[in-house]
Amino acid sequence: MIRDIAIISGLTLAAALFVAGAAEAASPQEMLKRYEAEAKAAGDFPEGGFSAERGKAFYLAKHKGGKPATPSCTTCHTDSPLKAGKTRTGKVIQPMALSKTPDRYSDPEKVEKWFRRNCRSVLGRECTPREKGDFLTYMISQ
Amino acid sequence: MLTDRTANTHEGNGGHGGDREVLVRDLPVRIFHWFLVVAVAVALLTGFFGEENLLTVHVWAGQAVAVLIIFRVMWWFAGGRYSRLSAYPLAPGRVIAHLRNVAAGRSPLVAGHNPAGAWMIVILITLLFGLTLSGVVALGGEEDLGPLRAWVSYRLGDAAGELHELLAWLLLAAIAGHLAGVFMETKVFGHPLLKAMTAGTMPVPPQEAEKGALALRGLIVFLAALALFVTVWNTLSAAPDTRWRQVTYIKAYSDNCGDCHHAHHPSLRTADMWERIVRGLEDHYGEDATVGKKTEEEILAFLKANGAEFFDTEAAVRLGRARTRDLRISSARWWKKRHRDIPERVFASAAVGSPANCNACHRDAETGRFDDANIHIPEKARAAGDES
Repeated sequence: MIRDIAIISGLTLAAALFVAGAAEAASPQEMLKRYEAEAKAAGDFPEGGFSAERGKAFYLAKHKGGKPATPSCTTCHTDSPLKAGKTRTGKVIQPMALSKTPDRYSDPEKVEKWFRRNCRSVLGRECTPREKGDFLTYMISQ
Repeated sequence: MLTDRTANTHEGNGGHGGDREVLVRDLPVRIFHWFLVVAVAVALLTGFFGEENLLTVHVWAGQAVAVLIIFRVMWWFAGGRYSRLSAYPLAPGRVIAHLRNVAAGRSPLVAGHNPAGAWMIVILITLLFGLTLSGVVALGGEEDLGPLRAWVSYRLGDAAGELHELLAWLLLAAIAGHLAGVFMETKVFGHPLLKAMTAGTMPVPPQEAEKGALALRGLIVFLAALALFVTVWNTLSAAPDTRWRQVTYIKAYSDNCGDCHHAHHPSLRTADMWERIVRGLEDHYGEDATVGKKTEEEILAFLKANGAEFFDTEAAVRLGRARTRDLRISSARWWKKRHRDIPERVFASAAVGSPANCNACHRDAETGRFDDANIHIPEKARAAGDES
């Protein structure tokens, strides 16, 4: 009796978690599709599609217009997406590469939040869908 | 009565060749003495030299001292003939006469205590009483721990801590005086005081002997002292604590703020400072840390409802309510004072990261309590500090 209740509650909980998770989750590929749509709507979708090359250059570049403490993505994320980074307060940031941190880029809200924050910090403006698409393509390729 | 017990002095500085050793110190008082030596030594060492997290041991030692002192005061009225307060030659006339004797190079051997020794005991017991009392007030106020935590404010506890330290210095002076007195008596006047406090005997006439070892009576009185202490401690400790409460963190705060740094306890800033911090997330110490309007309101409401105004802890009073121009907690003077002995490199080490990560060393940072006993600098960070 007690065992049955335990099994049923366990299954219910698992199902609830699955549903809750499924509601939020999107795959990195779906995120890419989203940026593709946004770029197309803005008339800024590149001819050959998003490019990991351009994403890499963007990642490594020293940008202007942002806050002085954070001139580049590499300030916190190191010069390789395969390596763990560090916030300016010293907290470890898991590697940006999807291969190293597989649960990345699957929560649209979170992805958007960090693009907004970090683009403003580094570039002093929000990133364009095309920049986001290139960046994400680079991270998925790594 | 008093004279009967204490008038058993002898001419000269000893010369009791004819007297056999007789018992002059009951067993409980001797055991008390040596246990007190150990407890006080531990308390002094941990108090003066121990790192903050040895506070736990210091408090154990203090509790032991307290029980022993309660026992000793009871024993003043229930102990053997020389252990009783009524047997102490404390009258000013007796003291003056004794000092005159000593100045003239004489100190008669007494089976009980001479006036200087008797006063020494009273002073030591009084100081130790003051130390345990000020200690428990400081523990309650500063650490929000122990039986008085519900009644003592942080500020009162802080003042008691200062008094505690002063009394500790006075105790050191008194101990030095006690040892000097014993040294004089044993080495200069040849009175075997050490033997009296160990074997319990002295070479005095048989009629001056203690009535007996009084072991059973001592045990009963000790158990009474222990029971009294434990009862009072536990009864008072059970009172509800209104100065600190557990905060339930909301996800919006833990996730958004905790992504970049340790999510600080809300009691580390006041409502108006939180307002300025959260409203200024667009430039949060050189980074954009915006969270979106709805989340921002949610986070701010949580922080303001649990701000420094609602806590009477050391962290809330000294850091939370400290106004710093850049709003940083680590800019508060108290923060700097308390961390001044920690090298830069310890903060910069991988195990800590920066002063923003309180929880790297304060294991209870999340509770806002910041108990001394919970400070543990990571070994790797400590090593990094040693290299500098």
